[in-house]
Amino acid sequence: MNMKLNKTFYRIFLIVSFIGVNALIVSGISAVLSYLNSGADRTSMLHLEVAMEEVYLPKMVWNGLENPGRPMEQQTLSELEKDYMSAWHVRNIAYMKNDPYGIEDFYTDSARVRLYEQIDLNKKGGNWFKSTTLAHHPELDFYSQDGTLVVLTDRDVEQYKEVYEKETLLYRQKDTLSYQVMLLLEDGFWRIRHLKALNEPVKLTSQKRFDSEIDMGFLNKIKGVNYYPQASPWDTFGKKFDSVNIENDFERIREMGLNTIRVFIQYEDFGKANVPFKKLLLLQKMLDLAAKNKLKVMVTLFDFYGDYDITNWTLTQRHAEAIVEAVKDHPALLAWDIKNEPDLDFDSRGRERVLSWLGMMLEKVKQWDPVHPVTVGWSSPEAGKELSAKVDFVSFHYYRKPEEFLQAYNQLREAVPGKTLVLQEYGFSSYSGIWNAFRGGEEEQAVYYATMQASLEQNEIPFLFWGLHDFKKIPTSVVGRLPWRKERQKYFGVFTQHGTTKPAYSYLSVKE
Amino acid sequence: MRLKALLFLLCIVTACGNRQELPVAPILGYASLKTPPKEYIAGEPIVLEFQESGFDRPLHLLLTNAFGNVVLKGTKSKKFTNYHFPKPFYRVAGKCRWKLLYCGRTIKEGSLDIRPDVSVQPGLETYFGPRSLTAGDSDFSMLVVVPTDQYDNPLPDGTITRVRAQFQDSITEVEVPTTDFIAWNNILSRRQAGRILVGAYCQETDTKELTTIVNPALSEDFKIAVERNHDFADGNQIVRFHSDIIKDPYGNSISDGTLVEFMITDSKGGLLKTMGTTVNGIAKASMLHPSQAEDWKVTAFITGAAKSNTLRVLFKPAISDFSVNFSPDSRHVHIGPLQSFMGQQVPDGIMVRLDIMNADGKQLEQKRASSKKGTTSFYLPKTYFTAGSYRIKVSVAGLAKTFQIQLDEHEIE
Repeated sequence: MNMKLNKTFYRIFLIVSFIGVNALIVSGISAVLSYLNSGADRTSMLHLEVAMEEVYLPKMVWNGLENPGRPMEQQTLSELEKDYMSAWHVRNIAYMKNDPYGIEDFYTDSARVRLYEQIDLNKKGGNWFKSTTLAHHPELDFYSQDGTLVVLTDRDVEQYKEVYEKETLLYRQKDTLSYQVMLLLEDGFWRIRHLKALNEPVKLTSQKRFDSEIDMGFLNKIKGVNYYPQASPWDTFGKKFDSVNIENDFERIREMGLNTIRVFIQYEDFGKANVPFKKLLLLQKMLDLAAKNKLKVMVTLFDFYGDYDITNWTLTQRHAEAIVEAVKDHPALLAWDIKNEPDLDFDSRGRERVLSWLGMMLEKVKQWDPVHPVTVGWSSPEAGKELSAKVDFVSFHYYRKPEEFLQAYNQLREAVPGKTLVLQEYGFSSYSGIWNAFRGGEEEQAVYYATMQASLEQNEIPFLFWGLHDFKKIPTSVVGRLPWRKERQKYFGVFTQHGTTKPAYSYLSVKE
Repeated sequence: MRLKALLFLLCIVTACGNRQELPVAPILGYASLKTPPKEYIAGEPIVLEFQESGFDRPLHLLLTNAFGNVVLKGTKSKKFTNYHFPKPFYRVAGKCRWKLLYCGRTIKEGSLDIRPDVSVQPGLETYFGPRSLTAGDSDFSMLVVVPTDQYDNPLPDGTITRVRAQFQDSITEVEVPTTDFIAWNNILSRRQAGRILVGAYCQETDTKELTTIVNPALSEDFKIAVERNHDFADGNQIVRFHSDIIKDPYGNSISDGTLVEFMITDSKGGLLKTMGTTVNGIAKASMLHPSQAEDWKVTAFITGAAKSNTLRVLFKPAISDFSVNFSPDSRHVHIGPLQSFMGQQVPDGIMVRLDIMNADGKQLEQKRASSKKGTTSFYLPKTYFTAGSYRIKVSVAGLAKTFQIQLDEHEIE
């Protein structure tokens, strides 16, 4: 018996080692072959411009190209702009990692020495800096006759930086500085030769508040719903975009006597930094349909975005700018909601990081569109205190017991006096099944809304309930994979999956 | 006591320990800058002295200049805390801003204006281009001079630089003050071709010698002439064409190597082309004599710039007559001897053409051959030319003779 077992072991060992040796030989030969097949990349020989992924897109507005040297060509200007931005980008990265990678591509010999010195200094001190620039306003001072030298003054460069010592954040600040820069064209790259911080008074970019122009009156009258089409929840502007269905929904909403909807724009779905024109058309189409049905639209930006890191601030800015600029004059637009429930990211991303991104974005959206009010959709009345000075009205969500609502509301009312408060999300799932031991149901939902609507009406609180439809499928990215969460999320609507009304409908139909 | 220390520690940990969060603790301390304000010169060590009191943790001084940031920790002396600027910060001219930080808050802030060090001999960088010009009044090279101090800071606007340029006997000098880091001067082209040497200096520093070359401008119209051994169309000698010295509008002979194309229109309207490049303004080109009487019209061109006069070149026929002999069966046709203008044998290679037609005058075939030792011959094989009557035409050097021949089935040697 023992002998037999031993023999089997030997056999197995031999076969396995034979296969193993063969596999090694084959992989060795293939490694050699693939090495011999790979050659030098021709582009590296020609020193062609490498196609860079768009990682850094601060706003760049040229103030003037007139100069005594030579007229600036469009082609050169775009190359110059690209390399100048890359110079800022590689420097930001270098100071973040204290690693001079990439510096030599965008700084001349003498200039890069200075950066190396600083990197050494910061390495020694254990400091590192996370920084970005948000806006540049360059003006061309000089462009030489042979086209290889440029001097420009970059005024009011909006910079944002965080100072770290080891792992500790020491300081964060927003700065506006002006620089004079000389660049040389070397090996096809525009490289920074001289850089000087100017002692100029900062021109305050017009941060005027156009509060008087904002129509705050309507906000107090909001009676609305958070809207996703029934067929494509959390993907309003995706492949299933169907204007007929949307129009039908809008007609139903209007029939209920509601005047507002809240829609969501997903950051990735809308192309991140490069918003596709097609998506903007869909958004416009939806706004047109809303206008046709006399509905106002609150647009929530940056859904499913959750990074907030300084290094991609410029990208999020380009994203928001494209959307805001595209529809800011639309009659159906009511307000900009920067982000849905960002306070839920406080734990994972850090409260300050989230708030500084929101603060920056609120300011920027205000700059692009001074007319429409801005807000942030906080997940609870308690979070509504955050950034209250920067938002035009406070939006909060409430999914707790209806009896305790007024107490929470009044607390927030005291904390942010003078601001309009909008209950931007609330609702009750009519789900009844094994995950809640068959305790829920459409009747319970109706009871919930009866209580809520009574308090809202009594206190004249503007509201947007969640939501119009029951959904068949909930994307995993919304509430995760857990079935008791997914199932619950399906039944928040006042219309069933088949389009029939639930008992709650009568409480939410506010038509006089 | 122990509890107090523990509480204190806890306070600090909650205040400054968290990685992401900034504390919101009231600032109890007080700091004031004791260093009197002054203008700094690059390279001169900078120390900022603060009186700090009431802080439970050390403060940081954050410096920011054009190139980057640094965080400094102070050194305590008896009364004050000193912050020594590191080299990269006191050597870089421009605005340098400082912020005194305590637990993420700015206690005090300000900025220094550091000026370039003008006391020491400056460095001069020059950028000169384009390095080649066209003679005349419109083209120019640009000299850009960037004077810097010993720490590579551009000198302040208004720094005087002088630009000198030499061309032939004249040396000019202009004074150029700097603006936006640079001083620049346009070196205008001259009407004569040659070299312009340029140099600049600022205070005691001179640049190296820089050169721009003034090339002749576009050529003007020119004249051509022909040169040949004789005027017979012998198909053997070479005709040489040459231009006069081709000049630009300012009298400079055009650049060596300029391509000149000689276009020849022959008496039948055909085009022949030959070309040459200029040396010292003169272009030369050659062409073989025609093999029959010709009337050439020759014009030379410099593409896109200039053309010459049209020259007429006449050729007399070299061969005045020739004899044709047939073998008894008429299948062998012997042509020659061909004699040139002095009765000498024509050089080898004169083209002889034989056209064969049937009795009705319909062309059947054309044969060509070159002469060798003054003669040539054709063979009409019976495979192709069956018995019958044919008409043949022999053409040499523009002359032609026609014969009527009768071919048999048999070949007679």
